[in-house]
Amino acid sequence: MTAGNTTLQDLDTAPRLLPRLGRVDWSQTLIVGVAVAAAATIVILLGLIVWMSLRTGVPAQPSPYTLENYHTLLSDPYNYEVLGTTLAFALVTIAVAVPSGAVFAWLLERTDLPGKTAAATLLSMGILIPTFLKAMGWVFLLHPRIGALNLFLVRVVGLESSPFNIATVVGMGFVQGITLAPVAYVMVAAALRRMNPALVEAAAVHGVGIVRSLLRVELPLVWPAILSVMIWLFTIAIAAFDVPAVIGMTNNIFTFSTALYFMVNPAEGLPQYGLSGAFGTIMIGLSLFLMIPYFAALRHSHRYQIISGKGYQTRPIELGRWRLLGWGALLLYVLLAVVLPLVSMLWASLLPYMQAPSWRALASLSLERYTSVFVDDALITSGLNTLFLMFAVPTAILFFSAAISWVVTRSRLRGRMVLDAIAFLPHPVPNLLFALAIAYLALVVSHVVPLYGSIHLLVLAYTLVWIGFGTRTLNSNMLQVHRELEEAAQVGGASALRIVRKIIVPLIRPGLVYVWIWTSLLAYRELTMAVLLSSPENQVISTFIWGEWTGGGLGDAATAGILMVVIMSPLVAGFWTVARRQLDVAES
Amino acid sequence: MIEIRGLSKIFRTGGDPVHAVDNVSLSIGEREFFVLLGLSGSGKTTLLRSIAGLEKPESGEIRLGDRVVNSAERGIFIPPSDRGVGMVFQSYAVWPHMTVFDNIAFPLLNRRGRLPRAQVRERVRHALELVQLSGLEDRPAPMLSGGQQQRVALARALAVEPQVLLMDEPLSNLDARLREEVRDEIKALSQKLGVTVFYVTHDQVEAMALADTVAVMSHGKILQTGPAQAVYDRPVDRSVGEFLGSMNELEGRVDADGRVVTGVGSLACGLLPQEGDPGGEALVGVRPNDVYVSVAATGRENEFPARVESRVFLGDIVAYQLSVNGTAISCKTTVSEPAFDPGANVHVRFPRDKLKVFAR
Repeated sequence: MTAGNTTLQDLDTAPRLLPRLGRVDWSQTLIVGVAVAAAATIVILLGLIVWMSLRTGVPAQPSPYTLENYHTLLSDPYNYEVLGTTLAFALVTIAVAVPSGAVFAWLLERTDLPGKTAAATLLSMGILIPTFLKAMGWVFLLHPRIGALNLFLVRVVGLESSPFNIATVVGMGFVQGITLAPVAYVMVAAALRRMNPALVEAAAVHGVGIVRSLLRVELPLVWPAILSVMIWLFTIAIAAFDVPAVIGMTNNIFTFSTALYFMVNPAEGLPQYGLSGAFGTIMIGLSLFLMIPYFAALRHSHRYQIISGKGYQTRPIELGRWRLLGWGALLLYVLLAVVLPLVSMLWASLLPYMQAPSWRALASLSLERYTSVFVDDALITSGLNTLFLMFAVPTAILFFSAAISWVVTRSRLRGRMVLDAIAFLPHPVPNLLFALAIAYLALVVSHVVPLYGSIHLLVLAYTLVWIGFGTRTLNSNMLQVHRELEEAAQVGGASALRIVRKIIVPLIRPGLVYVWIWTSLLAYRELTMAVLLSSPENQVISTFIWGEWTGGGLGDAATAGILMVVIMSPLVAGFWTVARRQLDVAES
Repeated sequence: MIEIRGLSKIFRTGGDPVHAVDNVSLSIGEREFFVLLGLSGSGKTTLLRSIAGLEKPESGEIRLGDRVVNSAERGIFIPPSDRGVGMVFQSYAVWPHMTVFDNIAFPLLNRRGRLPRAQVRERVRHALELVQLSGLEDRPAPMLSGGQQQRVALARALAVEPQVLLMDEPLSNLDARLREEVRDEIKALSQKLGVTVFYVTHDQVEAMALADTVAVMSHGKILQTGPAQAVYDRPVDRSVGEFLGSMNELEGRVDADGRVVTGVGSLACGLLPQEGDPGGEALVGVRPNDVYVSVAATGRENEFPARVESRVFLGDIVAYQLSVNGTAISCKTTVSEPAFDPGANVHVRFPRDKLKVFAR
């Protein structure tokens, strides 16, 4: 044995390399505690809905446990009508969103369509305008009584009655479908990108033409992915509030969310919490049931990702003259999703009352509403509240979802996959129900903690519901950080919290930034939960506009909507640009 | 059968344009088994995909038989579906939503001039027989092993009865033992069917085993084309020689007698390179298995005393590191030859016709 070699005996007397092993790491306990607290709250809130459904009367008063609410709900034929309307609305939504999203995905992923970056930007532009504003825009355009186009066709062209009516189930589904088309686009495009391009090339080389190959090879292969998109959008549509509330309520068409809203905020009488709890419980069951085919389809679509060859780019299909048609479809989409709703809302905001486009109407345009709305204190307060939410919510989401993701991907804790599943729960379950549960909870504890009507309730609701966005992104990000990078720090004696701060967070920074910005944009757009938790003290811009709208101040609502878009657009657009860049970094 | 003239394909994906195929010309005869050998990134797959019509070259011409399928100058581009070739993809590209039968029948039923059902059934049966998968017609594609998928891909390519069969590293996803077996089957099948094969690989052993003609490609250019053995024995330059197998490289200078004076001594060589003038610098290459070792001197030319430095037993062969006049030489012998112990003094001989001489 030459000098300088280490013997086993030397090792025994050397300082221990693993000082942390065997000692309790309190920081690890802390992370687990944060994760479990968030998950537990989600479960408790869902449990609260079920508990509500078994009680009668008002919150915080004693009540026997009873199935009376279910009996009342199920024996009223009106509720079946609501259910039928909801399903029809969801089906129309899918019929509009999925085919258009799939066509755009194919155009951008498989063809030589020029200006793809511009096309992708156009498709994502819809994020700039909250869904309820788009719905308002369509009312201003195609409502049978006040829609500008209908007024034009009746008063100026001379038709006998309004030819268009947006306030129908089909009309609502159309608007909802238009707003969800980009979601379908993103999901189908991802499936096309996962597919081995050689599968399509093999058809071409052996003599199969483009159309047959598209129908017989490509479409069947992405079909499971398309099916999963359909189910996903279905769950979103049956829970949707904005479009049914803004459009449907002008014509007494109610879907699940708006019907529930009226159970809790009835025009007369006491809020029917028990009944809404029963309705909510049934919807929880339905949406959780839908997750069975959703995950089955998702598994199937991943099974088709067989071994791929080397990473070559397949030659795109040459569109030739068809490219005009491709861009035509894109521009038509932008017209329907962004331009028309905005223009008609602008039109409404500049007029003293709704008029058909004419010289006389043009002469009466004025900025009067804008000058009056600006001095409205309530709007200023709402704006500040919205800004507060746009910073507080994403920050809280990062805090909790990073903790959950760390436990799920890094710890060896038993039951960690349950945490993951719970964080995902608010995706399929209608978000309105979480707001309802929180409102109920705040009422129950109102003698002890006067939280009811506070802006913090909104923070709590948004955060819990959107934690799943965070965990989904951060899970995949954290899995990409090699375990040994962390173990090296562990061996060096760092605590779990320090490892997260010094190793993991810097490595997944792009993912964190993306999650923060994305959930901030969601907070900016959100109306559903805000409406249910709204009180004079916690108004945000969306509930302010909603208040004007339901109060009959349609023109004022339009004015505030235009202001919201104009003032927030630079911020939102800037956020969106950064987020997309971060996503590119995270993916590369 | 395949004529390629001045073909170039340039990729422009951010940064500098890459000349994946750089002014390549090739002529491949009917029924020839042509192997294109190159490292990854050499442009060999791009060349194959250009023949299939999956890439559109910027310039040059491709003829299949008497038909021009691609001529950038004349604006001709026949789409892949009308070129009448068969192709086996590296990833097999067996359609996972179809059965074995449907995979093979699908092109026959969906191409121009589609066949009647009964004839399709017969073609599929025959193709499966050729690749020895008879009886698996109804098996869903995802339930096949890698080797079986590979055979289905081959059957699909053969079922269209192509004049040209394109194969893009078809064996690279198989495990080593299966690879050899399938390799020999492919060779036998191609001879039996008399099809022209254009085969792309990075594995020089595979290339040697299969090729009638082999071409070595690097950085988008064809470095050498010829019969496999000729290319192996007479590489045109050092890089081709190195690519086809390991080589001892001895730097030297050509003397007045036409011998090359190197570190191990003065070597009598076969052909000198064109520029091999007296006084010119040359590089002598000799493959380890062309180095002969014996204890006693044989007295033939190019023989030198040497010392055994180390020995590694590799199974069917034994590798030695020798020191010849202070120059390290590696050498491989079959096990049946007598073993030499490290430290032993031996004689080493470099046969004149095994020495490759390159200009430096």
